[in-house]
Amino acid sequence: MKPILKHMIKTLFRMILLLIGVSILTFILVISSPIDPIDAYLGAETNVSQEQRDNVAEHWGLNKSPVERYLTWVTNLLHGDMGMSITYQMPVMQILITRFLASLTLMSVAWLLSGVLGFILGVLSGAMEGSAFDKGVKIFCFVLSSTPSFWIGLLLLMLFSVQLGWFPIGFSVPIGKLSSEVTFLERVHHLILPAFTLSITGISNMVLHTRQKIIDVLNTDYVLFAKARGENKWTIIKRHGLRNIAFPAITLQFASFSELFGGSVLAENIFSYPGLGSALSAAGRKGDLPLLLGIALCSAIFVFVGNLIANLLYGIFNPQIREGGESR
Amino acid sequence: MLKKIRLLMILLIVTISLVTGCAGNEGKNIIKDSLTISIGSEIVDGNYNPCNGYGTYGYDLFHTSLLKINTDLMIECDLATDYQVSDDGMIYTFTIRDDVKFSDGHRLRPEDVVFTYNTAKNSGSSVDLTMMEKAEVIDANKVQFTLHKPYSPFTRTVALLGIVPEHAYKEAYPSNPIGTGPFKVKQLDIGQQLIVEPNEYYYGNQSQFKQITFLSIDEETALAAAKSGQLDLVMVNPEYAKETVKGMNMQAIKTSDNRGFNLPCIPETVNAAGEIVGNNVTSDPAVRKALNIGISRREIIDHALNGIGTPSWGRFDGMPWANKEPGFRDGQVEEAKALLEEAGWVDTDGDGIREKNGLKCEFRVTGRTDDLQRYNLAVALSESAKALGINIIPEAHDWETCKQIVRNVPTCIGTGDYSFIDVYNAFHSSYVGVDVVSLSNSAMYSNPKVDGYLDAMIAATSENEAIELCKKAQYDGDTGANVDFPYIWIVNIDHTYFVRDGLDLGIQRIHPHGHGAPVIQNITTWTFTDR
Repeated sequence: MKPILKHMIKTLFRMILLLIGVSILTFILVISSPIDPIDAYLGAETNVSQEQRDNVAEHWGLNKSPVERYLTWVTNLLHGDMGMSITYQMPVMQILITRFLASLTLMSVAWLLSGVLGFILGVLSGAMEGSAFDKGVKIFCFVLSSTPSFWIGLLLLMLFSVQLGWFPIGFSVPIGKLSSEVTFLERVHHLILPAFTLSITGISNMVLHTRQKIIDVLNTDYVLFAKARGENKWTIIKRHGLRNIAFPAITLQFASFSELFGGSVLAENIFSYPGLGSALSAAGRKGDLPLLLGIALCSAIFVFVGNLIANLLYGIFNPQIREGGESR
Repeated sequence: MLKKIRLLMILLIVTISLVTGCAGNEGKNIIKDSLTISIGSEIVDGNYNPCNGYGTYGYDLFHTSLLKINTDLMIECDLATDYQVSDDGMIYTFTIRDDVKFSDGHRLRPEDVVFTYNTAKNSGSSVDLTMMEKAEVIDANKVQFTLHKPYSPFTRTVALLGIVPEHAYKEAYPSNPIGTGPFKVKQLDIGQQLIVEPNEYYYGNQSQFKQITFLSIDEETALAAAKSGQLDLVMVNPEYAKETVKGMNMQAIKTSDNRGFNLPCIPETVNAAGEIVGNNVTSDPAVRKALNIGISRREIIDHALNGIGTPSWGRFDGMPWANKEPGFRDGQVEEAKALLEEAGWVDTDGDGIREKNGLKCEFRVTGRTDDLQRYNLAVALSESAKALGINIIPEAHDWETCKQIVRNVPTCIGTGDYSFIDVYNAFHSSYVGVDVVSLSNSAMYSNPKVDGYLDAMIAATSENEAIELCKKAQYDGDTGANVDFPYIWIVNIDHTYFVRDGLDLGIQRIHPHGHGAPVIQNITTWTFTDR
């Protein structure tokens, strides 16, 4: 069998194992949580009779044993049916599709923002090590990485949306407007603050990492040689620096997929953005097992793909790894 | 290189300002014929199916029911022109109006009513029709319900179940309801906003607004949203009620949403499952009465709820079935102390806590962790009870645990919806057995006379009769729950909103249990008065 095919099959196998593991773990966690989905669904103190509560439990299959429930879920999943969400009263698949697309737009913008901006700032800061600019950037990054992203989100909201009125207070479309009349620019306008809030988590990581790498590169022998040849600093960075730090930066970027997902929960809640993050927090509060499992699988695949791409790119960028693999 | 970067930055800034400029003003000028409202996220979830529980708290925008609950909380006819109850209380017959159309122009038929009830009964949702055996059309314009057993609160169940059209009930019904109510869906962005417009076929009072937009805003950001000036009504947590927002005023609306603690009325014992039920301290009637008259509810509200709330004297304050007799005042510290002394509770060791036969006058109470208010109330109650020599130990636990131990450790409970079945659930001794696991009658209170009234209440054939019996169960001049004090009720929560100046919310029916959403129950009567 060709090595590439073998590699692909191995990867697929690993992904399936991962999904199984994640689903079992999620299942166990939700089952052992103190949230009673019937209470969460009906409201804890309504005057609904015990008889009706039993009806609800039976209707949603909540009165069977955990093992039975898990196996039912897996069997349905293999038939393409991810179950019904008790929170939204809709099929889980439908919820995942619509919300994933919305989240994807948000996350890609935030990801690009944190990657590009982070990289630029990191390079500049590393090149001008010790300067006031560098010190400023370092402080900025340390502060950012120590503050919770939802707090920053709230601050941004209060400043830009409430005080200055430059940006909307949330949502992905303007208030009260029919979707047929919403323009592309308006959608972008609504995306900016949430994307910015979401990118905050990833940016400082990227900046500091890139900055350190540039400093390391500038201290190597070949750069010393280049300086001796009379190259100026920026040419050195362009010729020798960028290529060397490109792949650690890219690996870092792709590995930050998982943080994106976690951060999106908070950012989406602050800005009432209808993505997977807000669905996740609603599902968590109601102990909505099918939806939680669906989102857990979704995010596991997402992160896995991110890391996989990072691995592949690493191979492409770094000839050593590529050739090392072939010689085996 | 640097020049290129600088150019890039400038380009970026220019693009951003272009985008913000182009997107323009977003409804900063509120036109008087449309409203923008935020009352929580549930209304934007896209689940508007009454058969699945939408509207069971009385504020269905799209449907109406056979009966309705008026501003005095009494039953009136709506889609039905009148109704009869058989002498044994098991058969209810409603005559249906023949001049009503759904929002798609189709006529409402009695068959739609039967369809609605049968669908709701089997939906596995919060609609409780377990008492109904069958529903059928008779005489071409009447619907007859046969119950398994007499159940006088059935009128309340009927008033809170909207009617859906059989011909239009498909998979996508929840997000696209077709009803006989005042509004229909213009546009729904699930999780974000719901835009509604008036239903031209509605037979009742038409709203003066051409369009109403409901937004889903996170509770913490609601205040920021209010300050942005883009909303006409924002529900906020009572903690923020003391803030000011330009162009808006704060309104606190009374509710029947109460908070109090159950006080187990039987001494501690172990049940068949090995759980401890009953409480040796609260089982003494003197302790229960002393607590009720000795604490200061106003003080507790000031400390735990920022002063927002109305003192509560009974479980049903504000409802037509509340009995205010014999009534009592609180803050009577000396009288409470005298009561306890007389009952044998004396502080012999000078630690501030009374004892009786070696038992300290102290007990734990719980507040559920997912509602900070309840724990705050537990702490404030404990502070207030100290003056009486009673030591209440507040604890915070998750709701599952609170429920599990509620018959031994009192918890902060809240009730208050539009059905008087609550009176039965509060006091009937059928819930008292030591092996019973239920929130109903968690005080394990039993009084044969009260049971008698409650049984008669369930079998009553008219609301007025049922309500009279509810009142007797509370106090019939001689005995009753109002003098046995199985609970201590502290406060009726106020629902707080920021309302645009000039927006008149009409006469608000007292809000039931639940967050601030019920404010829209009379939205067709809201108007903008001239500013």
